[in-house]
Amino acid sequence: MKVNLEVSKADSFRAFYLFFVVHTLQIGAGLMGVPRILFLEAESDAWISILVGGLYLHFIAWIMIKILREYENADILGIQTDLFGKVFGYILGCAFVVYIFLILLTVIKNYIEVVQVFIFPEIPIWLMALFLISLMVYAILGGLRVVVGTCFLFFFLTVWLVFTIYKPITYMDIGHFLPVFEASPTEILSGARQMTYSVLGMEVLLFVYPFVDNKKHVQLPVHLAVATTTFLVLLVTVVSIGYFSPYQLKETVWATLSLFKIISFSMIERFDFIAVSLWMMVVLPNVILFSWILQQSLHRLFRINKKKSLYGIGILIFFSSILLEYRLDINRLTDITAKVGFYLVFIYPVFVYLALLIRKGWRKGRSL
Amino acid sequence: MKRISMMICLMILCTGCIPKSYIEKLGIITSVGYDAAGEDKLEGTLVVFQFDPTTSNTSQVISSQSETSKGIRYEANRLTSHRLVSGQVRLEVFQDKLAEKGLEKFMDTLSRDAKISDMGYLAISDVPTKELMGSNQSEDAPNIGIYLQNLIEKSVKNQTIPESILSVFVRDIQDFGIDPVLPLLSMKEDKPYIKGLGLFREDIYAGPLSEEDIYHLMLLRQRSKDTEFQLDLENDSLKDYYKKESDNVNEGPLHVSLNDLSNKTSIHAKGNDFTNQVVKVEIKGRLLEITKEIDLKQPGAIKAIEKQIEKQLKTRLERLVDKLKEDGVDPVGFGKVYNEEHRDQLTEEEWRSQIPNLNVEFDIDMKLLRYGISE
Repeated sequence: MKVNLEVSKADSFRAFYLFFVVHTLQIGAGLMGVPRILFLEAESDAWISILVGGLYLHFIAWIMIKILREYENADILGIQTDLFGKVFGYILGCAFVVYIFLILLTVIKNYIEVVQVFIFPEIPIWLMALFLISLMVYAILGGLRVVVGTCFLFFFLTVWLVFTIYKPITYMDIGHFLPVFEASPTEILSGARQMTYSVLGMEVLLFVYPFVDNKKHVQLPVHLAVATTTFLVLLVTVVSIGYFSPYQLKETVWATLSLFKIISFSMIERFDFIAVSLWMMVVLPNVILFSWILQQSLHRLFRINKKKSLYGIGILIFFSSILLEYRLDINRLTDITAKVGFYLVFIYPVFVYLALLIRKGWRKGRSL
Repeated sequence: MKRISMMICLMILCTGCIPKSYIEKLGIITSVGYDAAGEDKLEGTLVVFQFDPTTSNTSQVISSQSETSKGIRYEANRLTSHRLVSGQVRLEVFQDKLAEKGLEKFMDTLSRDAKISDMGYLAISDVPTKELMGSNQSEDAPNIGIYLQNLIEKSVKNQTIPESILSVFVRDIQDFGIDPVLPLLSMKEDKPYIKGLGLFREDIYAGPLSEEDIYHLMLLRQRSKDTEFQLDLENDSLKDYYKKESDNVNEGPLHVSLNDLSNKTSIHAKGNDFTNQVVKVEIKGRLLEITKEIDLKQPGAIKAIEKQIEKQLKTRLERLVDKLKEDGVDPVGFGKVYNEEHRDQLTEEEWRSQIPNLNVEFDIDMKLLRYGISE
């Protein structure tokens, strides 16, 4: 495996689009349940956790860009083999592949679960899975530019959902936040950690970086994307804490979607139906991007034909999503994936950067 | 071309996979009433909309008995040719006898089912809901369910009763230190109307609150704005300001009608002691009507009226708090406010047992800003 990639002009895209790529990948199935997860950890001070978590996200984004800038045109798979040698590089690469596969599976499964609970209890899993997977395959066959395009498009098609939150805001009870600073620092930190679980997806930067056209301008869109994500998580969490009673929030599985339940217009009595259907557009960029990463990594690691691996991934995801039936199993899988993701995305880059620094220092020392 | 025809085929085939609901074959439940029927049994009355082009009657009322609320729908399905669906239920009425046993178990199914809107209204009734739903006095609304729903919706919008949607009720049950309230429906000459409020101890119905105390409760709950309220003042309290030329009109009782433009209530526990509460109320209002000829131009006239109103409001609020203490309920949320300042110093049981010992001091500041176009 070559460390640096050769990218044709037709495959590359402008740094500006990184905003949509990173942001849409961070916002996905996780946002539906994040208020409750944070509330379980830090109670009414969950918003502090989000601010702390958001800061850490910015730090990791900065580290990732630092690492990538050490090389000319490499992704994380190349950097690993260069740093740790071929064997460890491949093992870590495989870890990434397994992790991306699992997260892809959980995203699809969680969305299907929501559709079954909210709209169509009778709809078979295989049908929904087939819809999502066929769209995913269709988009990826169009190449990376189409993949990035879907992120761009679906961002604008769904971002207006944010404005519908005004209605729950009118029912908020500020008393639910008082008194502030009741949670202990450990609770705040574990809340911050839970927050990072829900916004996994920044790792895309490590894979997509070689395809960016103007690498000089990577910082701004990435940090903007992270800031937007943090703001959205903060918004839904603050509104949920104000709107639901503490007990209710602990019991409500998808608090964000439940907020939509009270929105109604004269033409659309039940807006939650629209919101859940629209959520497919939030989930789709996730599915497409993750499977693109999967396909790209398999190609880089084992030189597997891209089209073949894509069909393979589709079939594998299809069958594994049918096999998972119980909500409990889905939850367990989501938990495991989130834990793996936390170490791989939010801890591992720091080590890579340290290793890079050490090697640099060592080389400098030797050349003197 | 091939691609487009494929897409069209897929669109048609894929949408065919979703289960269909024809509106003519559905019975759309708009409101549900629950009555207690014997030991452990429930009687449900469903007001159902049907869009059958062949009949002119678009709604019907179905009653059935079962052990659970979902069971009622199941049983009722045997009584009609339409498939009953509950996505449009916007009002649930509970008989007071049923509410006395607690509503928590109903709330569980209502909040578990994603099909049920969180914006549905809840109410209780002191007559069996079967009678309430059986009334044919629905004014211009297509059926009694819609009439009741409009009645409550209008009253909530005009702030004559507190918010009574499902999500707020459930929140008030589960929040620490506050008890929920629901509108209390009743029948007058075969026509349903809002009689007052039902006070709750957690999810258990504790007793009615008369219609004239609703304003005072909403004032303390700080959830009202732009409402009207009436007070009767002491007959001769404003004697000094009567207009000279009209002596004989000033016989009889003195009533005032006021418009509450804005109000601010703050509740404080004196010396960190939960049982010693001080409530500060500031009202900015507008005089709508006064039953005696009073010369409002005279210096001090407005001040005197304000003072009388404050005095009267204070006795009314004290009466309300006495009533709440008697029932052992706290819809004002004294416990909640206390908890916001001193977290974890008051347990749920302590709060409940301390309610009858509450000692509430009122400090009312009334500002009469305007009095219409005549002096």
